[in-house]
Amino acid sequence: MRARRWLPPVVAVVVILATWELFVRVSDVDPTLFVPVSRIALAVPEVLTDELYVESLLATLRLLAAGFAISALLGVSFGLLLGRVRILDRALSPWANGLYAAPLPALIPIITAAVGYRLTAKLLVVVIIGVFPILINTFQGVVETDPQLIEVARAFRSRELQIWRNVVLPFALPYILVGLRLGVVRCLIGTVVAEFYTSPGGLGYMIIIFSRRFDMASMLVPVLTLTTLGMALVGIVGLLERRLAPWQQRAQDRP
Amino acid sequence: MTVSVPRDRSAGAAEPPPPQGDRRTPDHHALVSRWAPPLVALLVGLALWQLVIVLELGQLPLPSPWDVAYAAYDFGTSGEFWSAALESGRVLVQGFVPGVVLAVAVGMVVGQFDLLDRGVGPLLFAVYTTPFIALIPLLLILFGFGVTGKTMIVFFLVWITVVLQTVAGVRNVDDKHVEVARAFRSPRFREILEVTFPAALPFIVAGIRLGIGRALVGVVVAEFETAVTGLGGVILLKAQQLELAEAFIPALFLGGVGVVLTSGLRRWEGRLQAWKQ
Repeated sequence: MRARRWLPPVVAVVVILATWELFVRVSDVDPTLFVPVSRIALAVPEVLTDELYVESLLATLRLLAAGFAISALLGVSFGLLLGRVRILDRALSPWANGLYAAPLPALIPIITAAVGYRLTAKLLVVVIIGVFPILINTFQGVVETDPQLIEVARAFRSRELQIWRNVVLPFALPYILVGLRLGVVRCLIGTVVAEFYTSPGGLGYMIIIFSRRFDMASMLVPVLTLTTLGMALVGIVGLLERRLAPWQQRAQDRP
Repeated sequence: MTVSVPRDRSAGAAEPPPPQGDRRTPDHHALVSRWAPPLVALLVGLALWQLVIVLELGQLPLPSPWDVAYAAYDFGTSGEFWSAALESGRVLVQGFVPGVVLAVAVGMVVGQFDLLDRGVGPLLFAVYTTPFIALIPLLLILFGFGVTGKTMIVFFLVWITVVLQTVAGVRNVDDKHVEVARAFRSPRFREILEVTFPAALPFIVAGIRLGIGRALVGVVVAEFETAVTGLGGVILLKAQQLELAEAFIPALFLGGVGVVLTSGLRRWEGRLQAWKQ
């Protein structure tokens, strides 16, 4: 059973890598740009043992953790608030939806010009990119809470805050978890852009350094690290979803 | 579907009650009650912002809303702005069209064959999960820092998103419909054209919507990198010259484009889903 699941992707990877190696060797493309697999394989241990790599990875994880924590806190709180307070919903939801659809990294040069290159600027970038999917999904869950449940709670004289804690939040939990899964991916994207364009540090900065040197092979190491990180985070939140909200059927594990 | 987001079951529940009596007045009311709160919120926000600037409460060198409005009138109508917008727009269209076409074609094929999907699917997903910003410097080096490189970025971002959604859509086709088509000995290409494709279309449109959002970000970031061209280049240049009011204009314009495209595609998705029930 295991082999049946793992074999096809492994075969696919091997075939693709072999084709790539062959293509680069046979054709006359520039091997400094289109690096053969063998060169990448050599670069991997070199970069991984570099002190800068470990430092950068830790910096990225720190920024990501802080940014995600703030995004989750703000997203869930505002999602709850907008979902329960009608006038706030009417006044602010259109803007939240609009900001979710807008390419927010366009604001980065303005943020760095106004806030500088401090940690605040980095966190701000991560949070404005990461907060909206969490907010919007929480909101969706809150709005869809079964009104009968709320009525029963009211009949038993629950206060609004008790309704939030005991009815609305549990009902919205699967939605919140979906929001967190989408949010963590966006936070990771935000972290990388923040590292590109604000103060130096992190895997994003490493990518920029290697790209200025046109060192394609080394550059792939932080990129692949980020891929792994992205998949691991999505996996962890997915696991949480199955653990905490097993009643919520997940259609597919696709984006 | 954005596959993972729970289906909106309340759609329609929030609709205002059907107008009674004189048709014009209730419609008018619905319009006002829908748009008044967000507009009031905007005005309040802008007034507060203006106040902070005028009273010099913050230390931030932000422009006031008034400055931004003036810049919109002054800079937003300039040739510099519109030629940059044209350049970014050209890159978007050039990358978008082949990206969608190729993604749908590949996705239809991959979705048809189970083994192929199980082999290639996880790889596509891994690429999709990579924070796509990290791939931009790579693509720029491979394909150049000019129009070609930026076009390739748009192409790639649209392609990877749409291909995954297309595969998901094809896998989601109702087996019964396929069985009926096969029972009537419909040829394979007709089955694909008339059963598989319509069933996958809502997924494809969702993919286009997600892909276009990423492509917009991709173009802007690529233009930060290439620095002199397009709307991203203008934002960076103006911000570095500390002309922040003018830097806001392309950012706002891009935001508007994102909102219009996304909500348009969402509406199309809604209409596609409507007959499904």
